Amino acid sequence: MYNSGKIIAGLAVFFILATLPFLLNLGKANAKIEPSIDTPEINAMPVKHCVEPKTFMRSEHMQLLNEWRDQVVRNGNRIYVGSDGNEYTISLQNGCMKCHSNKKDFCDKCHNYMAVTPYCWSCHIAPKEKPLAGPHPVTEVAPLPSAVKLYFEVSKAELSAGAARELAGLIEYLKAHPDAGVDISGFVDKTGDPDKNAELAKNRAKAVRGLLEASGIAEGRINMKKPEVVTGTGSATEARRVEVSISSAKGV
Amino acid sequence: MLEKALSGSNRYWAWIFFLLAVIGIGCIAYWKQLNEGLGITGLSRDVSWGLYIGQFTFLVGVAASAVMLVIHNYLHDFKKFSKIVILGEFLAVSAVIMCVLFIMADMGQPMRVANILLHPTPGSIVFWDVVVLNGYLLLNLIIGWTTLGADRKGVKPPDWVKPLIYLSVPWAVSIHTVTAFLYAGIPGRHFWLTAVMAARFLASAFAGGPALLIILALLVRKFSKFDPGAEAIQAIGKIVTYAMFANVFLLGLEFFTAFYSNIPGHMHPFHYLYVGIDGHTKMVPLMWLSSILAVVALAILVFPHLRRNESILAFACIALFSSLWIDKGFGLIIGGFVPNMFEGITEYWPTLLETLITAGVWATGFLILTVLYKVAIAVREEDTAVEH
Amino acid sequence: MTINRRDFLRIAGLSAVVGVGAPVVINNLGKAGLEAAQIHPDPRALKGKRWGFVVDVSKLATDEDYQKCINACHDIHNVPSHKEPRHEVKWIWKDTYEHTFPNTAEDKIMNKELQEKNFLLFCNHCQKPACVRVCPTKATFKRESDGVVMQDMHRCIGCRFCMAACPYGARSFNYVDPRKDHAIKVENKEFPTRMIGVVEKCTACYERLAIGQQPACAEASNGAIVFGDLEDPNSEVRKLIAEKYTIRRKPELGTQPSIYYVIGGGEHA
Repeated sequence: MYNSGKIIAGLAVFFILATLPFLLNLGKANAKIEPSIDTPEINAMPVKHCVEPKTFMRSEHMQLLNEWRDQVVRNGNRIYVGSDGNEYTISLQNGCMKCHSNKKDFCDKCHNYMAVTPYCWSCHIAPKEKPLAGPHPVTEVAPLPSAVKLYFEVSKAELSAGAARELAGLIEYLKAHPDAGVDISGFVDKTGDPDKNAELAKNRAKAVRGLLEASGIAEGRINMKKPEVVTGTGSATEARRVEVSISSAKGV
Repeated sequence: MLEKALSGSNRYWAWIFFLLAVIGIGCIAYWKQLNEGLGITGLSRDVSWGLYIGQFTFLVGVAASAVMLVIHNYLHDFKKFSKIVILGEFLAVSAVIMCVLFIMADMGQPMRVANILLHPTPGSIVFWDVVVLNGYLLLNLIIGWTTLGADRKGVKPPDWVKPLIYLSVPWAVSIHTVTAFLYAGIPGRHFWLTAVMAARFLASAFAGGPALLIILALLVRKFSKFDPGAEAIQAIGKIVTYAMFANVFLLGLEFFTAFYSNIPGHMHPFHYLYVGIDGHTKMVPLMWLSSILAVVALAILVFPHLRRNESILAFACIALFSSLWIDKGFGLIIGGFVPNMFEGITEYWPTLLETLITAGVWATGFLILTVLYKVAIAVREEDTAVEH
Repeated sequence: MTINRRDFLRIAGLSAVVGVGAPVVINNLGKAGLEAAQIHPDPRALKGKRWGFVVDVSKLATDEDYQKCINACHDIHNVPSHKEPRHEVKWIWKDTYEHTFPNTAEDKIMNKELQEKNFLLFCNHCQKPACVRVCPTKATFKRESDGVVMQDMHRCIGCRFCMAACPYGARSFNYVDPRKDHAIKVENKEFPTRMIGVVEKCTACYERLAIGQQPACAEASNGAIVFGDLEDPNSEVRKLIAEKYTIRRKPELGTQPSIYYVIGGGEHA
């Protein structure tokens, strides 16, 4: 063999690298996985059963879901007739997960053990985990409300009738979180005199500020953020707007 | 033969490591794009193809240009090209690999690219593009490697290479025609909906590719003992000149159709690119630079005594290559998307990360080119050593 | 036995390919898939040969009327609203006459009322869609049964050829993760979101049609958007098209769009 020294050394290194997972786990016991079917929906069933028997589902659910996906999306077939003769709605979110509403204790248990990350959950919304009963209840954190856009008529800075309602969510959040501030930015469409437009954008932002103050939000929490480009993006109608969003810190 | 790329001067290794560094930075930028999505680029809902696809389009042309040498050398027995053909074929290999990398960089879900083969759709031009590009890559790799290997052993190449060489000629034309069809068959975008798209592509390919080849041949002569031949370079220079005239002429035809017909939808993209619309003028300096460079290049190339001066020829080729790179690698794509389908303007400009990924792909192409050229030069230098 | 390195590598490579490839091929050849008896459509599903829309914007007065239709769609489909305008995703939106019918934009003396009207734009579900023609994976395809131009998010590779091909700008791409930064204001848990790197667009509420419901925008439009079977001569959409003057967007391109915009006729002449 040419270069026998290098080749044998290389083979040894390769062998060690390839068996590294086994070598590292020598002597460690791995607990048997027990996916839990302890959900209110399953507990309420008089006879607990899935669309197919457990052994079939365990080994074939991936293939079944693939078939279901193509049948629903590509062929418009939404009803599955199981081997027990019953009809089931084909749906991951509205079918499987309606009974198996405990993704972490069911789906994830096996998937994590097998180091499999199916990307279904990047799109399909997993059911909300029910808060665990016991010494450490999970507290619900209110989600941060997203930015609100209020639109205006050409050359006008008057708020529309629905503006107060649109801002209601933000105002509620601001009242519940006294530390939070709010950013207001005014925009104009591309028509008209640039100087007058700068004034118009400011007036629009001021109108929104007035509404917030009238709703009880302190002046110090409101940040008037002049945008770099006062001409708003999008169509003319979209451009004539004020953007209102929660800022991270007060007065910054 | 590959082991010949593993020995070289310090300058050679410095160049290799520089390329590897650029590739590394490109990989890091691409990792960010994989995780966060194509939002890190300057693309938008209105301009959904940008620098990546532009570079791919341009490089398909460079890849197709090898056929210009192959036709002369193998079909017409133009022996002056016998030494330089291998440089053209290897340039084609490197360019096609860059094309594939740019397409992969542009995919929203690159892991699913196999779907094109799992669910073949002969009605889709992208499907055919995948087929012809990969086929061309395979063809050129086999032809180049086999002929070079035969050369090294001092024998004629085996007979089965001949039909492959003949096949590569229409195949080269096809890769660029299919790429042109990507644009020319789309109903809504007036800037692209023109029958001369494929002709323009081929003309600019046969100008830009050989121009790059001239520069590479001059560099090869400077940095090694391999001389592709001054006559070969001059012959390629003539091809570049004719092809560039054809390309500029075809562009002029586009202008005529757009503006004489006076159809707003046809004129607006040209307005945007060369004059700007409503204060949106990002592309204007670039497009004029491209036009000026083209005129300068042609003004030089049309005179044979200027072409014969190799430094002037090199300058003209660089100007020409740059002009085409701007026009085809950028302007062509943007013109199709701006104005958008509602006659509104959303401008596009690549971001830093986008540029770094692009640089990484170019560096990969140059790395492959360097390695292949090193092998080819080493084999040729052995030949010349033996002959003398 | 002596064997040179090149031959050894060749044999090793070939064995690897066969060793990995053969079981895969054999496994997949034996797969049966679901049989026809196991699967069928929901009996409540609406049936039509060619679904289409008639949009009468004279029935939409205020901005809120338009926004109601848009929200009806975007809310139930978890369509994200991004701060960055480049990454905008929209399935249905409001735009001016000039932008909806750009070929007519240069006419300065046309009917003023029409010129100042806003329209609702969404996927035209063309009969001869350019987007379907160009998709390399059939991720976007035309349902033969009812003409809806569908989008299979599982198969889309994000090449965006369909976005280039659509003459109507109906398609959006997920440049960023739609679930980040609270871009989805309120999640509809009965419908998925999308992930980065796929194209999305209006899908004629196929999930609602499947259980016998009208598309959400039509339901919320208070009669401005009428949905029906264009091939059924007795459908409401056909009656409207017969009575009123309607136009479609960019008809000269041959895509045969299925949205008819009312511009007059009947009591609106």
